[in-house]
Formats: sequence, structure tokens, C-alpha cells
Amino acid sequence: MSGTHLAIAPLIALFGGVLGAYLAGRSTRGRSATRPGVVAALALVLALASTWLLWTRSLPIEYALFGEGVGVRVTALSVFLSTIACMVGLAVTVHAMGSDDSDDAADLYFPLVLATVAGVVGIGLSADLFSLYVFFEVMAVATYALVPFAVDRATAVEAGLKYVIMNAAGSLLAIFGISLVYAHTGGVLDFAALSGALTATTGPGPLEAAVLFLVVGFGVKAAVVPLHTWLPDAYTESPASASALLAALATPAAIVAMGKALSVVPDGVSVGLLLLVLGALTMTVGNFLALGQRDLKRLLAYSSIPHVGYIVFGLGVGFYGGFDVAFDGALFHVLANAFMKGGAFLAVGAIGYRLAGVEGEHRTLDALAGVGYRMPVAAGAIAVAVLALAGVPPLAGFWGKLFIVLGSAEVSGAVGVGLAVIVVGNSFLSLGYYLPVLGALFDSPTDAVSSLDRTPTRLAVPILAMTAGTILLGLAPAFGLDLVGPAADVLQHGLEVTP
Amino acid sequence: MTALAYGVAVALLVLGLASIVAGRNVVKTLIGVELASKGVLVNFVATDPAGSQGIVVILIVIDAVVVAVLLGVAVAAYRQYGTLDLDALGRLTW
Repeated sequence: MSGTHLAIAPLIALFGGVLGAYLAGRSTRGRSATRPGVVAALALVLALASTWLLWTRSLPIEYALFGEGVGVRVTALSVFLSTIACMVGLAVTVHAMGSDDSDDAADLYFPLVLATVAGVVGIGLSADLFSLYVFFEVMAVATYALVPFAVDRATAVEAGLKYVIMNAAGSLLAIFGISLVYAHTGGVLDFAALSGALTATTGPGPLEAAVLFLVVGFGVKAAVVPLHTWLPDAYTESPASASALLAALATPAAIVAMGKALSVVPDGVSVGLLLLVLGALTMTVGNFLALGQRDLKRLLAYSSIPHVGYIVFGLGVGFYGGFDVAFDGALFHVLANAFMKGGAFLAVGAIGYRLAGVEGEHRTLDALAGVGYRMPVAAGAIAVAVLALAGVPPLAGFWGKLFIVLGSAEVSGAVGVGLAVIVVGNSFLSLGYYLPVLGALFDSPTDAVSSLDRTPTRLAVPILAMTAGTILLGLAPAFGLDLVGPAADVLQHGLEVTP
Repeated sequence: MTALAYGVAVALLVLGLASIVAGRNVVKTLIGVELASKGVLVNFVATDPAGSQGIVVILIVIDAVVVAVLLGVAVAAYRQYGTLDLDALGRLTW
């Protein structure tokens, strides 16, 4: 068995898991979530193990699908995305097995979760612009079905419709941008050859148009302001574990896909400046939108927008000046965001699971007052996640922001200082809505809350794992940087194969 | 000839997007998605008729999947609201 077949082992495990989980779900009487969930978890563990094996080989590894051309290229960026995707997928799967997210349709829910993970893994593995788009679509289509999963709830269906229409249009713009690149280079889409082919062509006109199409197209899925309007509804209305999957994985992966597609564009086109402006806009607008929210899940959904902004801003600074530290910061924030947002949304799901039988509305901060005394695990996880999201050291969210600030400060003169101030200022601004969350969770309990049971063990395990990730990544960022550093180099220096 | 094909591609994309943005009915939105994706196909075929065959076939499959999912959500919305008019949905703020 040569090393080359190992290259597609994560994808085979995940797509095999899609089929296996579906069959396991169909063959179970009473539609129990246990068997499809176990199959899905096994597939994810297999994919994670094969990713680790790939990490120990010398990268990059090329693998030709069907014996012709290059189909898959394993780089450090692939390992990075694959690791995050499998870890988040595992936590989401375990959480969905213990809660009622799969809504009596476990035979569909777990395959969709696995397909989303497989799409993200594929984004990392893809060797050309077209297969990048194909895997992006796999991820997108799986989430199209996850958002309106509770088809009996009118608001969920409406949020789903909005999400599907906006993202289908966005995907079309992205593939149109890719077709423009195809036309511009006369048929070259492979990342290794593309950078050279684009530099050799004359006349930047069509290329600039293609860059705009790519940024806007991937930007819809990444929720870059002003293309973010689907996000609050989709995150709020989807099942808790699906929100965690979207916020922790799908949206940041769309930004990485955008970065990977733009990494081949030659220096003449000002990609960096465009991303910088969009990133600054996204974090500022996102923070102001989140300020007035009282609904906890919606507040967390809105607070995803500024974090998209930080990552886009980091990539923008990186492309603008070619600073290593900004690329490191952007990808480190992708990793940290997975733990922080994953933990927060899963914990909100656990609280919702306990409150499901209680009369009245139970999503606003007022109704959740004092939940920290009854469900210390879930509320504690939210508290840690919220502090980390605000960038309080020494939690995971601090380091990504620090590297992005350091990167911005490397831009010479007053502009660099200004860019750094924008990031730091936004971090302080975000405390304005994160601190009331902390206050409410540990307020004096309401009547409905004071009779709650503790967090169910099966839900507590993934929540604690995500929280532990947030804390450990903050205390020992070097572990994260081992994974992030080489991946950032791939993004920065292009995906050419260095012999 | 190629210039004409590129023109047609852009025209299809613009028509499709206009239909997505302006269409009040979900079915019109769906037709817009289809039109715009055909524009993309024309762009690929015009550039390299022989070399883009694989890409075009895969894109047609992806289109079919996206449209199927969109129709599924539209049916679910019709069951909940009894209408396909996007303006009539309004329990969430747009």
C-alpha cells in the first residue's frame, strides 16, 4: 500500500460514512438516533486518524483520481481543514445523538452532517479551482438541507428558504468567476500551474472581474457584510447541533476556500486591499448589529459576523503586505473559532433541550436568568466561550486577534496603527454584548429556570471537549501554531509543488 | 464567434440574477438560478469546447441537486404558509 492511496482515505471514510449512516438509520426500528450516530462517529474517527497519518508523511502528496491528471493534492492546509472539520463533526455528532435535533429523521441528519464535513475536507484537498468549487457545493448543499431540518416549524422553513436562495445565487457568482479565470488562462485551473499562467497573461481587466466574482460568490456563504443577511435567521432557526456545525465549520471554511482561490492571483490585482476593507466593514457592522440583541442564540449568531470579519481582515492584511503573522492569525482564528463557537452553540442547545418542556418563551436573556446555577456545565461553557470570543487572554480567541493586530501594525505608518486600532476597538466593542450574557447567566434564577435538571451527560461530553479545546489552545497556542503555521505558508506562498 | 458566446453567457447571468433579485415568486427565483447557471455553462463551453466536457457534466449534476433542494424547501414553505409569494413570508425580518 503506497502513500498515495492514503491521500483520499479521509474522503472515502466520510462518504462511506454518509452511506453507512443512512443505511443504519433506515434499518433501525423506531428511528433511534443511536445506530446512525455511532456509524457517523466511527467514520469521523477514521477520517481523523487518516488525517493524522497524512500529517506524518512528507507533504505535499499528489493523488490522481482515475489514473489521469491531478485530482487531489494533500498540503498542510488540507490537514489543517481536515483536522478542524473532523473534530467539530465529532462533537456535533455526539451532541445530536443525545438530543432531539435529528427530529425522528436520524437516517437523514447524520449523513448530512458527514457530507458537510466531507465538503470542508474536500476544500482543503482540492488540487484545482473547479474541484474546490465542487466540494464547496457539497458542503453548501448539505447545509441547505440542515437549516430547514425542522420542516414542521414555519420560521425554520422560511429561514431555510432565505438561506438557500441567497447561497445558490452566491455559488453561481463564484462559479462564474471560476469560468472567467478558465477563459482568461485558456483552460488552466490547476493551482500549481494557475499562478504562473495568470502572471503570464496580459490585461488584468477580466482577471479583476473574476476576483470580484470570487469574493462576492464565496463571500455570501462566508457572511461578509453586506451579504450577511441570511446568517442570523439560519443560525437561530436551525437545530442546535447544525448551528454549531455552520458557525464553527461551514462559514469559516468558506473564507478559507475564498483565500485558497485568491492565493493564485498575481500581485498586480489589489486583492488584499479589497479584503481589508470588507473585513473592517464586516467586523464593525457585525458588532453593532449584535449590540442590541436579547435573544441568546440570535446574539451568538450575530456575533459570528465580526469573527468572519477578523478572519477576512487577517487574510486581507496578509495578501496586502505579504506578512506571515497575519496569515497565521487568520488561520489560528479559524481554529479557535471552531472551539469557541462550537462550544457556545452546543451549550445553548443543551439549555434549550432542558427548557423544551417548560411553558413560555425561553430564548431571551431575561428568561434564561440564573441558568448558571442549575446547569453549571452548559452555562460555564457559554461563559468561557463568550470570554474567549471577546478576546480575553489567555483563552483561544486572544491569540488569533493578537497575530492579526501584529500583522496590521506591520503596515507602515499611520495606516498600520489605524488598522490595528480597528481590530482592538472592535474587540472592546464586542464586550458590550458579551458581558450582559455573563450577567444574565449568573443572575438570580427565574421560576422556570430554578426547577431545571442538570446538563445531560451525553450533551455535556462534547460541550466540555470544546471548552477544554478553547482553554488549552489559549494556554498553549504553540500546539495550534504547529498546525496553523505550515497551512498559512501554503496559503501565502501558493500551492505550487516544491520538490 | 467566441465573443458572441461570451456575450450570451454574461446576458444569461444578468437575466438570471435579475430574476432572482426581482422575482417575488419562488418558482421565478428558481428559473433565475437555472438561467444564470446556463450562462456559466456557456462560458466554459465557449472557452474550450472539447476540454470542458467533464466540467460541464459535473456542473449540470450540481445544478440538478441544487434545484431539487430548492424545490424541496419551496414545497415545505408552501405547506407552512400556503403561498409561494416571497413577500408574504414575513415571520422573520429580512
